[in-house]
Amino acid sequence: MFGLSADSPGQNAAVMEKLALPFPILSDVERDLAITPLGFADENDPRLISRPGVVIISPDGEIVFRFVGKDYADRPDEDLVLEELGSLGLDPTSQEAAEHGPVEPGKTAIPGAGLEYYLSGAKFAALALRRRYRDISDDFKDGTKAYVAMVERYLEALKAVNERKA
Amino acid sequence: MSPSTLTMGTRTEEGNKLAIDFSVLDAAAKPWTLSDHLDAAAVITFHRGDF
Repeated sequence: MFGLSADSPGQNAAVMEKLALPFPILSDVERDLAITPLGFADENDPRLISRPGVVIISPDGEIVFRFVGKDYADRPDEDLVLEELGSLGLDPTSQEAAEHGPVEPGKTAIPGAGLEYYLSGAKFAALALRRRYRDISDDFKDGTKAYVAMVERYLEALKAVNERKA
Repeated sequence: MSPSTLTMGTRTEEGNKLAIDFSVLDAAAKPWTLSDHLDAAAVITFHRGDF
C-alpha cells in the first residue's frame, strides 16, 4: 500500500506522522512521473494537485483496477478496493513499517486536532445542501448522500488514527 | 448510481492490461521505483495532498 501526491517529501512526511500511517506517501511534485501519465492530473484545478483515486497493480506490473475521481471530493470506496484486491486471489502479505524524513507541513495543512471539526463541518454542510436542494435531481441527492457516507467513514477512520497514536 | 460512491472504478479486461513502472521520491526524499516493490500486488492511492 502506497500513497502518492504532488506534495514535497516533507509535506508527505507530515501527513504520515499526523495520521500515523502504516504505509509511505510518495512524491511527484511536477506530476510528470506518475500523476499525469496515469491520468490523475486535474487540468481544471489551478492548485496542480492530483485527483483522488486508486490503482491496483499486479505483481507482474500490470494495472488491474483503476479509479479516477471526478474531482477532489470524489473518492473511492474502500470496500470496493478490498473486493478488487481480493479478486486477484493472492496470498496475504505484510508490509515493512514506513519511514519518513523531516516533517515539513504545508502552510494550509489542517492540524491533526482539527480534523474531526473539519470533517464534521463538511458532513453537515453537505446534509444541509442535500435538504435544501433535494428536488434538483436524483444525481444531486445520490451525490450528496455518497459524500456524507464517505465523510462518516473518514470520521470512523479518524477514531482508529487516534487510537494508533494514543 | 451506488449510494457509496460517485464514480465506480474500472477493472481492466484480460488482454487489455497495461504494464507500468515509474520512479518518484519517498517521504525521506529517496528515489522509489514501483518495480522494486512488486513482491506482492501494490495498491497506490492518489491524494490531493497538503491535508
